[in-house]
Order: sequence, then structure tokens, then C-alpha cells
Amino acid sequence: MMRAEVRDRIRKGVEDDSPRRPRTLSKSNPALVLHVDMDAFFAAIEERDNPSLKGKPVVVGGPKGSRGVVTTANYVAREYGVHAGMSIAEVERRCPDAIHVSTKGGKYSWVSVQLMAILRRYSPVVEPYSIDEAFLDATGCSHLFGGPEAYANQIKQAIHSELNLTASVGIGPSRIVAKMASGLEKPDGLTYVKPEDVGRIFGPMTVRTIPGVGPSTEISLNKLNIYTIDDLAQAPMSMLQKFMGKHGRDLAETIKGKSGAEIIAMEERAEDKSMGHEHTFHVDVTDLDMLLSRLLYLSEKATRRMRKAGYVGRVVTLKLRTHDFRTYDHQRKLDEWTDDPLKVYELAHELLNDLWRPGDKPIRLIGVSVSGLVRPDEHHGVQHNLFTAATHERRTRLLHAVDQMKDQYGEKVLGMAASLESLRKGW
Amino acid sequence: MRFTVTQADLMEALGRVSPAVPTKSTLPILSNVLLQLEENRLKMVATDLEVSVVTEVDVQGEVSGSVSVPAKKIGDIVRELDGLTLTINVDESHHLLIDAGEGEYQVPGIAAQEYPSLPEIDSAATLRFTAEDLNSMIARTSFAVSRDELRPALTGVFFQIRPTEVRSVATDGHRLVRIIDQKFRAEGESRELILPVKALDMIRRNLPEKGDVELVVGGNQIMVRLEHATLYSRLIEGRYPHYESVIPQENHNKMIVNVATLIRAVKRAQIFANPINRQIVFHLSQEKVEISAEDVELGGKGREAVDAIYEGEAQTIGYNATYVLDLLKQVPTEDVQFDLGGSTQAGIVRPTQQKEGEDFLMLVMPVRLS
Repeated sequence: MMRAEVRDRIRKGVEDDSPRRPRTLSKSNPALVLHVDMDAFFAAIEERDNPSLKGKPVVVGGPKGSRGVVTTANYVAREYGVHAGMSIAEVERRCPDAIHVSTKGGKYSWVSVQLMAILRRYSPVVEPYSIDEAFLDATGCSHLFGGPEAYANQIKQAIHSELNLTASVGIGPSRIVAKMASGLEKPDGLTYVKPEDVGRIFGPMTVRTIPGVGPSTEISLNKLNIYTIDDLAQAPMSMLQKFMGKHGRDLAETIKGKSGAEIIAMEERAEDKSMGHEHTFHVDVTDLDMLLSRLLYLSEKATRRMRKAGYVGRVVTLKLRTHDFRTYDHQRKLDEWTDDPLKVYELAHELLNDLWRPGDKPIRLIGVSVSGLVRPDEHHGVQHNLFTAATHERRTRLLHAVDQMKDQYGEKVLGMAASLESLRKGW
Repeated sequence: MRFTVTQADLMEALGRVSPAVPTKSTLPILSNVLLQLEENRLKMVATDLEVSVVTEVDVQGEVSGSVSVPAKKIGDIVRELDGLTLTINVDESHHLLIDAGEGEYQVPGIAAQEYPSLPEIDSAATLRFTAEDLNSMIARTSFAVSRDELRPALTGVFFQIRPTEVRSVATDGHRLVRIIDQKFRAEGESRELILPVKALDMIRRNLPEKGDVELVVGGNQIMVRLEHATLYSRLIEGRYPHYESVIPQENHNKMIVNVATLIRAVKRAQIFANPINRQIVFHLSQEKVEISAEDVELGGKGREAVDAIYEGEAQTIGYNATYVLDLLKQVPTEDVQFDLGGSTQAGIVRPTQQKEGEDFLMLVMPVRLS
């Protein structure tokens, strides 16, 4: 699972159960966001647990000789140009002495749980952003610890003394600024970017360095003659609104750190647009049953996350990548909102039939996501169905029981039998 | 092929077949209409392979023959030639030439042999409806069919033919219409068929005002001879859900309200409904009945009391406003009766008085108010 592309790993698979609270911001209480980012997380854990690795290039990812990719490289390996997402074959060329360690998801997850527990002692609002990063809302609480930098230092020390790992912390007026700041002085860094310093520090960087700005947003910005963060900060809002809509305007406001609260709202929307999972097979797959089994597993995972966050969704998107790295996606609307894995799977199966038949190109990656998400409440009721109303109650109770088991004993404690096939070793 | 025809006659015939031409099609030739001239009769065919329409028009024929031409192109040009007499000629390379006196227009065609042939019906049974009954049955059911291609059976209207009655049923799972016509008589055995909604629309367009209409059923096809056109349609295969089991038997909460009053109240409330699920809420008690809606995202809300009689438990039930309005529009009487269960059960909607020999019932499923 850890082999999926790095960006997607950051974007997806994010377990988020911390509450976001509305805040009142004022001049005397400006927004303050901390971004805590562990340094070479997986590699650092491996080094910590096996001191003989210290000082050597360590690469965590697919096993040596495999088709896998690097999940994390330690700083020694990075000196050879090795970075996350690089193929193992490329690593062997660049750094033949690298020590390859295969990913141990369970171990890292456990350290992640310990990390988040530490962070929650320091702020009531902690948002895990990926397995090794989190945002903390420090608005109004950093002064309790002697100011933003002292506050961040205490967090770093706690992580170091309790986990024997290092983290880099960025502090800023918005989430994006904090995230960019944490990357400035890695490893073991601490960077505080005040609103008035944003332009000086980040101004000359390209817009692509802003987290969340991908190739297509970069192209749109470049068309408006916006290349650097400075250009973006100085661009007239009306132009951004006209040519890029709300997205462009939000981006500029974010980078100026204009309002922390707004930024959180924007992030929330971005995150809540869809929930999904994807999987890169170790071996390209030509067998329909294997694809379907994996699709069921992914549908279970995606809807599990939706139920955890209280969402129901309506649009199912299937993503396929063939062995020649062509990526296809296809989506269709369900006629009702749902958080039921079988409903999502049923439609994803139809979509797969539309896109791919046995005998077509081998499949490298398959993914499913659900969008059109709403949180049902008294204002967003969910339409009942005449023919399934009777079974719906039973299904809901069953899924609820499954969720409770998973909450208590872990995600792997139970699943649908048909999805087991895809979890066989070697796929 | 060569003939002369008035623009009005040709336009009328094109108008009858062109609704069968698919808007999007995987087979390019389906965007064409087929023209077949035999002496003084010009036959026209359009099909999407599911529904086909055939019509005929009187012309002055000179040379018999056939061709297929793009329906939109020929429709567009003929429409603009009003009042004229047209001489139409088709050359060997399947170009259709329209000579309208002052102007000459050439429409590229495709050989008639390429055009799909009409289904053959091995006549098995004939069902006879009065045009009026069929019209009213289609009008009141077809709006409720599902658009979900994952469940094809629900995308058509289900007809249950019995010797002394016909039932027509449509549902998308959220609302349901069932009409039992006890005046209907059929010879032969009982049968059940699901007709695509597109075929029903086309039948309805071409129904005569009076008289009888015959539906010939054979295999998985149906043929209907109408005044100026003959329609063929594939029947939808698959099992229709057991709809009778979802009609509640014990809905003890009764509401009677004037249809026009309720429609106006729902229309006002839905302005404030969330645009995605169109949710409105009925607040029901013996003292008063109120309808409300609130859009929490964009703000704004509405609430109003409705002059209604309600006998039952006090409760609140959420509905999709669109579904409620769709059903209310079908009610022919001044007042409408709701037989309601709880807030998660199907509600029955029906006229306060049934037409003679008919049982007309509709269901609407609530929206869950969590």
C-alpha cells in the first residue's frame, strides 16, 4: 500500500477524526498554524530500531530487485539523489550500496498513533495530514508555552525524547505557509514565518512549490504570467477570479496568509470532495477476478473512511492504469447517496466492464473513489428507497457493527471474503 | 428515385419519424432516415434499434427507389422551404437533390441497404385499448420511471395484462404509480410486459383522439398501428420488482388537503430547499399541518401552515419536493388523500374519489431526517 505515488499518498489515505472548531480571529488573536513533519519517517524508524544502519544509505520501499518504488529514503541515501517515488531499479543504479528495507506498514502506523497522541497534548485541534505529518491549531495557545517558537521547540523535544525521532516544524499564519515553512530547514528544523515575512521568504519560489498546486494549476497560473509566489501575491484578485474562479482567489489569499479560518475551510472542501483508495499491483494483472477482488477491497476501504467521517456519496469514479502507464478514469452517478461498500462496488464493477475486458492491456493500478459527498443531517436527509428500505436498516446495523470491530481491533480484523483473494502475497 | 411532394406533407412525415432518431448514436447510420418510394407512396423509417417508427406520405412518384439521408439535415432544409412544391431526385452516389424552383440543395446520403431492417413481429397476441385510456395511462405513469441504466426493468412502464383488467406501474424506487383499469378486457392468457418510456412517448404523440388502438405483441417486440404511423419497440427484458409488497397496508395517518393549495405551498417551500436533495418537511398534527424548508448552506428558510385535515399521530416527515409535486400534478380531483405511516415509510397518495372502474394509487418515499 505504501508504494502508491507519493502525492497520492499524501492526498489520500488520510485518517482524519479530529474535530475542527470554528474560531474567532481578531487582530490581537491572529491565526497561527503549526505543521509538524517527521524527518524521513520510515527510514528514521528503521534506523532507530536497528542502529547498525546509522550513517548508511537506507531505502525503505519495495524489496531489492522488485518493480517497486521508494517510499522513504534517509538523508544519506538522498545525497545520492535517491528520493521517494523513484523506482527501485533506479536506486540500484545510483546507489548500489543502499540498504533496502521493505515497508512495515503496521509498525509505522503505530508510531504515527503515538506521535498524534503527543501532539494532542499540545493543542485541542490536531489534524493528521498523513501518516507522518499533522497540522496543529496554535491560535491562542502558543503564549501558554512562551511564544510560537518555544511552543514548537517543546513539541520537538517531546517527540525526540518519547519517540527518539526528529521532526521539522513550520509555523505560519496559514496551513500552506506552515507546511512550506516546515520544509525549509529539514531535518530537525524549526521555521517561523510571520505574515509580513511570507513575501520575502517564499516570494521568489515558483508557484509549483505551493502544496496543492499541480501541473494543471501551474499552467493556468503561467498563462496569466504568474510564475513565482510573488507574482501570485501581487496579481489582482479580480483577474484571478475571472480566469481561475474561486480556486485562484483562494490560492492568493492563502499565500498571503490573509485568514487562517478561511484557509481551513478551503482545505476542508478540498479534502471532502472525494474519498477513495487505489492500489498498484506488484505484478501487472490480466485476471478479472483479481481486479474485482481488489475493487471490492478498495470499495470497502473508501466507504469505511466515508462512514468514519459521516459522509454519504453519489458519484463513483474508477481509475485504471495500464502497464504502459496510461491512466483512464470513468465515472457515473448512483441514483442514491450511499456509504455502503457493495453499492459502490456494484457501480465500480459496471465501470470496469465499460473500460476493460479480459484480454485487454494488463492493469498496473486500480482505484475507486466516491465524490458528491454530503453529511446527512436534518437538513440533508437521505432519500429512502421503496425496495431497499427494509434491508437498509439491517445493512446499516451490520456496517455499524463492522466499524465498531475495526475501531477496536484494527482495520484488518474482518472484511468481505471475496476481497481476500486480492490480498494474497505477491500481488 | 424521383418524386414530387409538397413541403407541408414532407415536413409532417419527417416530424413523425424524427423523434425516433437517437440524439447520440454509436452507429452513424442511425442519424439517418430511410426513404423508400414505391409508385406514389413514400415510406419513411427512423430507428434507434430499440424503437422504430414507420410512416407513409402520398407523393407524385416517377422513379421508385430508396436511400437514407441525415434526419437533421433534411429536416432543417425542408422546414425552411415552406409553401413550396419540392422535386426530389436521388442519384447513383446516393445524393439527394431537392429542387425547390429557385434553389437546389444536395444532401449526402447512404445506400438504403446499409440501413437496419425493421424487426419482424410474429404476431402472438393483440391488446386493444381505447386511445383515451392509453393516453391517460401513459401520461400518468411515464414520469415516474427510473433513469438508472443499472436497473433496466425500472426504466420502462410495467403492464400486467389480465382477462378483466390491466395494471400499469412505474417506479424509480423513490415514488411509484399504479393504475388498475378494470374496464379493460383481453382475450387469451395473462401476460406481463415492460415498455420503454421512449416508445410510450412516441405512441402518445401519435395517438388518435378517439377510437381504439391495437398493440401487437410477439416475442420481445411490440408493434402499434397508429393513425399515421406504425411503431415498433423492443420490450425491456428482466424481472420487474414485486411492487405489490411495498404498498403499505396499514397507513393509519390520514391527511386530506386541497391539491392546488398544497401545490402552491410546496412550490413556495421548495424555493428554500437544499438544491441537491430538494428536501421539504411536513409537520403534521391534528391541530395544524405545516410545510417548511431550509437551506443551511446558502441561508434562507420558509415555513407555512396549510389548511388540511389530519387524523393521526403528530410527526414530521421529510420529502423531496420534486417528487411530491410530480405526484400532485397527476391527481384529477380537487382534494388529495395521503395515507401515511411513520417518517421512514412509504406514503400513499391518491385522489379522494376514483374514476369509475379504476384504482389509481401513488407512493412516495420519505427522506431520512437524521
